[in-house]
Amino acid sequence: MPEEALERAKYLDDYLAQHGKPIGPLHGLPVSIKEHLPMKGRTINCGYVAWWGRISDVTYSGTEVLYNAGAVLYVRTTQPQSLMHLATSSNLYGETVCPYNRQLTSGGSSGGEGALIGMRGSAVGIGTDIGGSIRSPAANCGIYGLRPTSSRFPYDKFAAAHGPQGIPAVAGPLSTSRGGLRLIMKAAIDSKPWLTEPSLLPIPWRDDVSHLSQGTAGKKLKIGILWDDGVVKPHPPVTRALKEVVSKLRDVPGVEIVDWKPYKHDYAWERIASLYYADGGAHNFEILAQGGEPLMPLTHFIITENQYRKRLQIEEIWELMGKNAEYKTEYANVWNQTATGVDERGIPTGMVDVILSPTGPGAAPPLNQAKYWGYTAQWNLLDYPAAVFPVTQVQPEVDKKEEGYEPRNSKDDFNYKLCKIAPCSFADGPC
Amino acid sequence: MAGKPWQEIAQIAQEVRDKSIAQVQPTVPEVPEDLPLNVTSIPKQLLTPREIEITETTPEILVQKLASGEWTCVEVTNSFLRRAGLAQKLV
Repeated sequence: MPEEALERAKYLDDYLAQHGKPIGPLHGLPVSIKEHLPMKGRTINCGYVAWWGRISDVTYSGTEVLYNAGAVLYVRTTQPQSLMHLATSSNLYGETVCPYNRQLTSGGSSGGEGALIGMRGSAVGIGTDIGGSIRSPAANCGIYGLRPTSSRFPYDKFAAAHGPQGIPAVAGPLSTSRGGLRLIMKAAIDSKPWLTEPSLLPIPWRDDVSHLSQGTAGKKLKIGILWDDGVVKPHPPVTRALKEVVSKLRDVPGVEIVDWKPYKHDYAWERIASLYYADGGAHNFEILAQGGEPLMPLTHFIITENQYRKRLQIEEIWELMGKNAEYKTEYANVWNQTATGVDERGIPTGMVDVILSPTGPGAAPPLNQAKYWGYTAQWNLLDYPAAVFPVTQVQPEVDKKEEGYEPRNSKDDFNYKLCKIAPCSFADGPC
Repeated sequence: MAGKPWQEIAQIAQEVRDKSIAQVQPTVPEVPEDLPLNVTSIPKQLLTPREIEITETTPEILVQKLASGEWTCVEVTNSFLRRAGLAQKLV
């Protein structure tokens, strides 16, 4: 949006000259925005042919907040057909690829953001996430991303097809730095967005992390390492990346490292996948048919081939949401069991503070092969905040596939076979 | 748009996108036909050193330089427009 952007930029330059101070904390910062976050007067297609040419009459609330803080809106980025791929391919725009290896996907569904920021065509942008859509592109393109807890970051006036029930979707930042994530979160939350968006919680942004060392003097930051979710074993470069981070963390005073035992992550996928298409996918199929467009392989994967997809009666929805609530409680108990003691009120102390985990079962997968959502969707189900950061890149001479590995199940087998492709094919992929 | 084959709509969508990139000044450079697998180093070859400096600055530093007036919003925005237009051709 060159014309609009430069006009706004000029206005902001004049403002600074005239008032001697910036208009807000994001004065002049170009921010890229995923297309499915609407802008008044502009198209809102969500990756669908049938929706191309639809003009939105509203602007997504987060875009307004960032604009008012001084951001310059200059580009909107692409997403996959159906918005539900960990990749970014559509009949409208084709494939979006990983800047480090164009045979690999950029990830998705905020893959336009991932690729653009990966290429430094943007320093910070906004994506959305209901199963991994901020974190997959962030990881695949070697940048930072944050899936905030629901009810924190502006959410109003999203656009998407109907389908998910009881699974929170969120918007959140992707950036070239951790500071960029913080800048966006703080600017948005400091604007008190709950005043116009009452579903957001009126909790201030917290920069102070001294609460992490409350309680026993000298309490360490306890990090639980999730090496493997027990369902799909990560490829060697991901495990190497984890080892490199852990090795550095062990040298940091005030940090304690433990292993995190995954709790029923395969069951978690059944839980979340059962509620992605409460109408059985009817709305999505309708839009696809309207556009006369073929279904892409990963649309088939998540809708047609989704064994948990079913048009649900309301009683079934209640039951499924009840099961999700149960699982969340069980997982919280697992977390509480990492406690080393209790305080005078019997409240557990000494628990793990944060989990360090892979973002995916490998580096960016080849096109149309991103079929395992477990390392990201797990945290959507539990509604945990999850940040992604780059560590290293695939080095074919170092990251050899594990010979003689016996896959545990069909998903693990699929992932393992991806690794068997010629070693150079994942070269340079961020992990 | 009713009744148009999807391929036609896709073409229109891409033309709209490309036209918007064509508005960027100076013109976004063309990229070689034969692209390497890893295209992350191509912008350095085709954009100005100043544009590279700006676009490789992290957001938290960018806002400092913009708030102080050290860098103008117009220059920063245009640098990102240029690099974004180029990125479109590469990924």
